[in-house]
Amino acid sequence: MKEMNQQEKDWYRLDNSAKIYPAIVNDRQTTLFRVAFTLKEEINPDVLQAALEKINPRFPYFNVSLRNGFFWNYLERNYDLPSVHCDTPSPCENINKIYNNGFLYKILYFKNRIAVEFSHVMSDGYGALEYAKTLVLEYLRLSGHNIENDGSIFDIEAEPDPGEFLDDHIRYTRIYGKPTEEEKERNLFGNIKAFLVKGRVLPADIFNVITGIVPYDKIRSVSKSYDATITEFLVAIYLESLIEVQRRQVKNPAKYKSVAVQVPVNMRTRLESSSMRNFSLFVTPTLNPPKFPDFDELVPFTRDFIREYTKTNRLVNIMRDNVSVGESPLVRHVPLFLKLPITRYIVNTSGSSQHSGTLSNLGPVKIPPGMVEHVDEITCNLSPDPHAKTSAAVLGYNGNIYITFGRVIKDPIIERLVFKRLIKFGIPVRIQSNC
Amino acid sequence: MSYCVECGVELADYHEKCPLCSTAVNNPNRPLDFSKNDYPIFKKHHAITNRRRVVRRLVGFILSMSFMMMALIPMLIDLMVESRLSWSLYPLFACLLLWTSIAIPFFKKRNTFFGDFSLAWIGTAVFIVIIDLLSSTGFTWSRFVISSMLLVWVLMAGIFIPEKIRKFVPVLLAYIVASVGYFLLIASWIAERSAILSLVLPLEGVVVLVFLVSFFLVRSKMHGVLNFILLLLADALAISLLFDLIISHYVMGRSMLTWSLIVTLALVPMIITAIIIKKRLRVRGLISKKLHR
Repeated sequence: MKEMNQQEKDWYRLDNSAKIYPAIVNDRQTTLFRVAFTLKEEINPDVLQAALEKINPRFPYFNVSLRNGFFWNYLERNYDLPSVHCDTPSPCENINKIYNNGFLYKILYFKNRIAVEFSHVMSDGYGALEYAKTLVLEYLRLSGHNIENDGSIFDIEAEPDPGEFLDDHIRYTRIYGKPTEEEKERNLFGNIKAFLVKGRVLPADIFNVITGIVPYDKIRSVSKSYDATITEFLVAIYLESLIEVQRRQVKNPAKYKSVAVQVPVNMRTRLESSSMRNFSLFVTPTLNPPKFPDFDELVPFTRDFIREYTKTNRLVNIMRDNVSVGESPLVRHVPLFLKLPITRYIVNTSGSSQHSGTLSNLGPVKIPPGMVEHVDEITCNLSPDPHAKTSAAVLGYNGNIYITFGRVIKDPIIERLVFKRLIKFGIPVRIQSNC
Repeated sequence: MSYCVECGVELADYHEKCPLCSTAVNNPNRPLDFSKNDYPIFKKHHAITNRRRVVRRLVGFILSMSFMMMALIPMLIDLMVESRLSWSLYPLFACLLLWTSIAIPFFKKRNTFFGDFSLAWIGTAVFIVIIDLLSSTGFTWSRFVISSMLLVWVLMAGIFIPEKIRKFVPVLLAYIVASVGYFLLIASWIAERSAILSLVLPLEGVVVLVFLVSFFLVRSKMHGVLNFILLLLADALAISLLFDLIISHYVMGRSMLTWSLIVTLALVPMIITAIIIKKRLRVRGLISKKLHR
């Protein structure tokens, strides 16, 4: 009963992961997540607007604006109508509150492409992808295509599931209870000082992206030869590239730092959840100096690390640690005007040095067969990271893997090394970019 | 389709050069086709930036007009009543100050905190000098304010100048020169020449010397909180002893220790305790366990 009331509520608490984002959002760190569908026909903005208005009531938890409370930010229901806009040269530009009617997501179109940019304050990549799939299906239907929904996309006629409103970080922390003595030994905020790529930084509103399109079967066969998944294989290549960049940028080997890639894990695949809020955690394969392994050792290391650290009990521990920070009485009772600058300071100092890059894999995107005929490509990318400078997002669709790198520096040094490595393995790479 | 000869990646038809390595694409069989680009071109983006710039200039213009009106009206009233400019000069220069610190940043292409701060600071300094000149016969109280503002500006410059040109040693030297110069200047305005030579200069010398020695000790080998505390106590002891000697020499004509002995009595046991803690690993462990942050 309590959960049903969520749908009529005028406001929602931020979920546990989202609490940090209002403190750090700015033009350089927009914390947006983008999913783009390229169709086989040119986009009609009027039809797209109609589709948007039609699917909107199905996602009441996304029709919100960010507001300031005394202790925390919160999400208030926004009864305005969102509108579609023409895409910008730089993806994931910061959301302009006035231009966007206060909504925390943007619907953009350009030629054949529909892009959805979601703030992490509302949801993670899963939420953005599900919303984008629903929007594109409705757009195609309104454009005159009769497409059957096979259940892989939300039914816009149905009522939202009460579970979609829930913050499952807190729910599962309560279900799993307090950690045992053995589990307590973990140290979430390790003393890692990860290597951060150096380079000439682009102006605040410019974000360069390069998408590499590679055939799924080729990359799968190479990663299989290492007994690794595609994610593990790509993380190993990313780590190898970071080691190489550090070798080039830091002349003195005594000054080498750890190299770490943050890999988000969708918790919905491990714990039963229908939450549309943030419900993902990170594992960070880390290599420490002075000796870095070569690629043949790197893939088994990455594979074993990711498999070990994505075990449910380990992830639940991370979740407990994360929730304990947000739920601690001290943190809860500090006023927001103090909490925001303190959080910003912590994130920009110790938090920023925890990883050298991020690689997020959304996995294979499933859409109804009738829709596949009309959708050419699907890509996703993360917002700029001013500290690590480069981040990557990966997804699979229709026999291809789309690896999108975003960067805030002029030189695509990581991308060059990663794609060259793939070509060295005999995997062809097709490039798209905005630069 | 075109391939990059350097990286081996397949390029799109709109790529003039490889986005990975900037190698120029030269394929006569495949002319460039910008209509196939995957993202809007940046020109459009620049148009938005230009629009923002125009709006900013408009705001700057409106503010300038407002300040001009605020200055002109008192001047006209002054001219009508007094037939000359007298009291209206105060609002005139106040408006000038507001214009430099609020309106000018709107006309600049790129705003930085330090740039805007410097502009406001210069405006305020000019305003203070003019007010001093108008209200008294010469350059009197304003010199104290101006020299203090200059010191603050140097301290701020050390923090906010771009990283590329910010070097540690020049900034440190600038801080020392600015602080010593500031105190000497103030002393020269309020004290006699003999007092400056025999009191102010030696006291400043002691402070700079102790600061530099401590600073290089911390940078070179004295790491850790305990070492830092030890160094602070030693600095306090050295400064109090040397100050006492210099002051007594100036006041009584001969150097002797007076009040500094009490300070020494208080500090020496603390220094001994710190050294014992530093040497005794068990005590150190206990303290770090009980008082960890």
